Amino acid sequence: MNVTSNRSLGTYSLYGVLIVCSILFLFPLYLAIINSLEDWYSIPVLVPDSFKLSNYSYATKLIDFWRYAGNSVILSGIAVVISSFTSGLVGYAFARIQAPGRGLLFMCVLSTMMLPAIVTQIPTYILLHKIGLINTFLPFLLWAIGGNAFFIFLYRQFFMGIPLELEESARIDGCSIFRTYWNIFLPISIPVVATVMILNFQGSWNDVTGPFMYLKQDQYPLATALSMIGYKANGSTQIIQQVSIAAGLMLIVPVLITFFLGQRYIVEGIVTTGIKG
Amino acid sequence: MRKAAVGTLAALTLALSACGSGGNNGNGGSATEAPSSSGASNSGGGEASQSAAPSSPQGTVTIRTNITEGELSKDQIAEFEAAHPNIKIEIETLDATKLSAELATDSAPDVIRLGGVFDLPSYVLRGIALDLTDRINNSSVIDAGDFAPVVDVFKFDGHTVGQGPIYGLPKDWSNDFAIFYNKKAFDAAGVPVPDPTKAMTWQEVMDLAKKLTIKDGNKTVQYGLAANEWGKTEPNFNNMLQYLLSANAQISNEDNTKVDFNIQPVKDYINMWVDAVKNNVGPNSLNNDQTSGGDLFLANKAAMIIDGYWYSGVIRGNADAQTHLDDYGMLPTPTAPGGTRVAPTGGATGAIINKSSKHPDEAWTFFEWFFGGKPADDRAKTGWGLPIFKSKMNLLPQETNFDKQVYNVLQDELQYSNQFLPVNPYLSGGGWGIFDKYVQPLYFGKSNIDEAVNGMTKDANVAVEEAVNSTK
Amino acid sequence: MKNKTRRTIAFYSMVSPWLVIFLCMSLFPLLYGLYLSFTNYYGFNMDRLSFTGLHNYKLVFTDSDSMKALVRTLVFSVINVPLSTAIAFVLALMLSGNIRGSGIFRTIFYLPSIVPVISTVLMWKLIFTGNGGVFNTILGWFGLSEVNWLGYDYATVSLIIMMSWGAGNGILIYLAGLKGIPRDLYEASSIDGAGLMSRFRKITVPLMTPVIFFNVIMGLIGSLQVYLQPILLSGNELLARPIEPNYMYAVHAFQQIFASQRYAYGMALLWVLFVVILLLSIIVFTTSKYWVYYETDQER
Repeated sequence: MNVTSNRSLGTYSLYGVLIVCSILFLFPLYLAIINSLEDWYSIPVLVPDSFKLSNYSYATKLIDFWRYAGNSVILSGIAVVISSFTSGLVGYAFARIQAPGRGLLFMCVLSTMMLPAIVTQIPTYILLHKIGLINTFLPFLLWAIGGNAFFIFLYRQFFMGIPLELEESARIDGCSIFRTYWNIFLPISIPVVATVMILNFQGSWNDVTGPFMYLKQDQYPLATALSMIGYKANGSTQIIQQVSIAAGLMLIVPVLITFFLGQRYIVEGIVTTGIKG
Repeated sequence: MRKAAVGTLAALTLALSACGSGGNNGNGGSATEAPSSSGASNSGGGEASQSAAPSSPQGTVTIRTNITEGELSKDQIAEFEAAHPNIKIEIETLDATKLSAELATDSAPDVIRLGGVFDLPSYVLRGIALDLTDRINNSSVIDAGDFAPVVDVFKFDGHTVGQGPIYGLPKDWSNDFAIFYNKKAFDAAGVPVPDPTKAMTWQEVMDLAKKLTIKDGNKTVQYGLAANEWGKTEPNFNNMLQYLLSANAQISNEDNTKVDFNIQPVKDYINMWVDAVKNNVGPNSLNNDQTSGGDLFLANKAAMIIDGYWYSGVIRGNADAQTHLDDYGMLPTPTAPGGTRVAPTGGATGAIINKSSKHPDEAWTFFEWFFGGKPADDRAKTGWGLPIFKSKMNLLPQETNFDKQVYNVLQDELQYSNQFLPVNPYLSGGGWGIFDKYVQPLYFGKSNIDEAVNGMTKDANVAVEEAVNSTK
Repeated sequence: MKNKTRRTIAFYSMVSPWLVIFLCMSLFPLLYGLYLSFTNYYGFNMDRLSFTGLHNYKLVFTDSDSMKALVRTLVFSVINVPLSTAIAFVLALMLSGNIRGSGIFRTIFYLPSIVPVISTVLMWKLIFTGNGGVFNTILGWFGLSEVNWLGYDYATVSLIIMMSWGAGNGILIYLAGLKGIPRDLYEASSIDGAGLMSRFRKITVPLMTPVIFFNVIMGLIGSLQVYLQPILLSGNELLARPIEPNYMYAVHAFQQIFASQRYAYGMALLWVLFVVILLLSIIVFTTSKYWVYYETDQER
């Protein structure tokens, strides 16, 4: 009896905390939504006093919205499909295969994240220009094939926590190292794979600078286009904030949907049964 | 001034980047480069020039520019391309890094957008700008005799702005240090609006601002002064340069290789502002009011704002302001105490032609059309800035009482617009941050004025010395 | 021996995608970027660079900002990293259960990491602002006097509060980690009569250490490179200078590059930051064998 009432008390206070946090987290979204519905050039508000849904249609019409969205789909598609896969492969090698030079190479992987991108942006531009890859999607494909340091590190951490017996049993079955990864490690790592895919999609979908530096305007993804090309009425130099906000909100919708659908795989994807014992 | 209009709400958007517009042509810049020097010196006005012979695609030249889409609309481009079938215009968004990368690979745009006051001298020193003197003098579209004095801001002889060859043109400009007032706020404080035919001194502006600030207990219900549309009522480097120009004082030596902030006018300027900040005349770091100056001004919660003619466009376009447009008006650019009257521009955004452009003739055709042709008329009519031709001034809006008040004060201001901010090309944009670094602590009593000016001098000279070395 | 060769071949073929792309596409820019930090590169003089030796690096240690900013950044990170790590962990624990609506809550908690920084900052400004701000209003209820949240004394506190709010970035990764803990471990321990707290201490935390480790390293890298938040918290544009207590090291570097076109100097500043981050990461890595629980043997 006592236990149950304790538990329901616990559940209520948990809900209490969750709801308070939710309000704090939802507030910027609320601000964005109400301000996306205001009149053009009006002063930002805290309480809605207008309802201009037309801002959303202007957001798609004043710039080449759908073309940019299409580019976003291509670029983030490349990243999610290829880089999530190769990062796993590399991460697995760093986690589970002993080889000379492994520690040093892993530090190299990590150190690519320790240098702000600005240092290499101009040299990268020069390189891509020399080999004729500026203004093509090819560099993004190559970078995806190379995997992403953040995800390599993430995979490595997860794979290092998986019990050793797993490999031993695979070896007894005569699996090659690659087969062990593919047939045994990946299937039980669905939460991590889902996490990587979600974060990867979010990262590439929202990447502004990379595409800006190495692509030309009609190849920009939506995030780059929205932050580099402002919404302006014809002839005016003033950015129409209300329409920009509407566009910004449309930009995050796919990320939210992907997250909502994807998080189920993180939470329900445990197939750990059968590992132990 | 920084027109970007980064209102508070810019926050909500993703619009973060400085400027921009992008797009190279094909890989490695080879693409379409057939020789075609014709059509260059044709009149840019549009019509008739090349009506015959629809030129074949391989005769087409692509001219790239980072003039933004807001400044050059798709319709305008289509019009131009129809009149000049051999030229295609491509807009490209750029920031400083991408421009540097393109300069390093010799693939920068043909027509490069820049700020006249702060950027032009350094672009000339860097050897990026093409000398346009002869082309402008021989142009049939652009009448150099009709230029407003502000155009000289694109002349530079290596030492002095306003002298030597001309490298580009501004698209428009404003007397950026003038004052706009809101009579509603003056009435609330029971203070009469100053005489718009006379320029106040900056000290008088500050005193007036103090009188216009209204408190209700602890809460400020109305401020006297907003320093700009996007931020706090605090001094800044550009504004100081205007003060120094009026006071006839210099922080740079003759050839701009040394800087010294330790002069009385600089100290006076800073002291005056620190006093104003401490007196709460606007939102600032001390009272930590995060509402932006422009929002306060348009909401009748700030009586004055420091801004140029272009700001009349903001007022005209604001729904609330439209309901009492007659309450607004412009006052002349203030002077330093005892100084001369000057109404310089703080921006004069325009463009140059890239010295290493592969198609300078076609770039020029576009250039003269954009600065002297129909787009120039279009710009003047909107009232979002001042034209660079004297003869186009009457295209500015003059319908409402507000339009007329602003237009009249402007006529007076124009007589004082032939002097330019004493910008040091080696310091250019860096002055802003150095200034802020040493002035901010003064508000909080963490430093004193001598420490501040000496610190500025030291930091600025390091940056100047480096920049000088890099141009050798 | 034969086994060892086989493993080495397997290792290198599996990391080859990364290795090849790294050698072909990242190594040249890295070295070139390093070279530029030893020149007088100013953003436009690529065709006539001159080598200036250690000049820029000397400047890093002698200019009036960098070392102060570096210390400031380190102090900030020492507070920010553990705090954010802990908050994200606690939030993840709350969300890991299968309570009603957990999917919605998770999505909401994920929001801070996808809402652009700039709108986050706008919200916090409304909270920190002096004239009718949320925090000062609350202080007023308790009869306390108002505080300048973005002034000299409290600006860093405010920055840390704002950064903690955005700690949700790590939640997702913790969730994945928590779900990787086999449920039978908990079941076994509850049979042994272990309480909630001791299960948390003896099972959850140890098994989560690889993930905690990941978030600490990533937090460290991010925290030492922080620049956007301090800039926007003080000003409204990217070139605005933050108030002194929030003038972080990376802010300094970016200001040199973007406001003054001092590319070479800015790059030298960032290479020094790189070395600092690298050293700190190596320290954390070395200590990891004492507190991170791995199934496999670490290193040799």
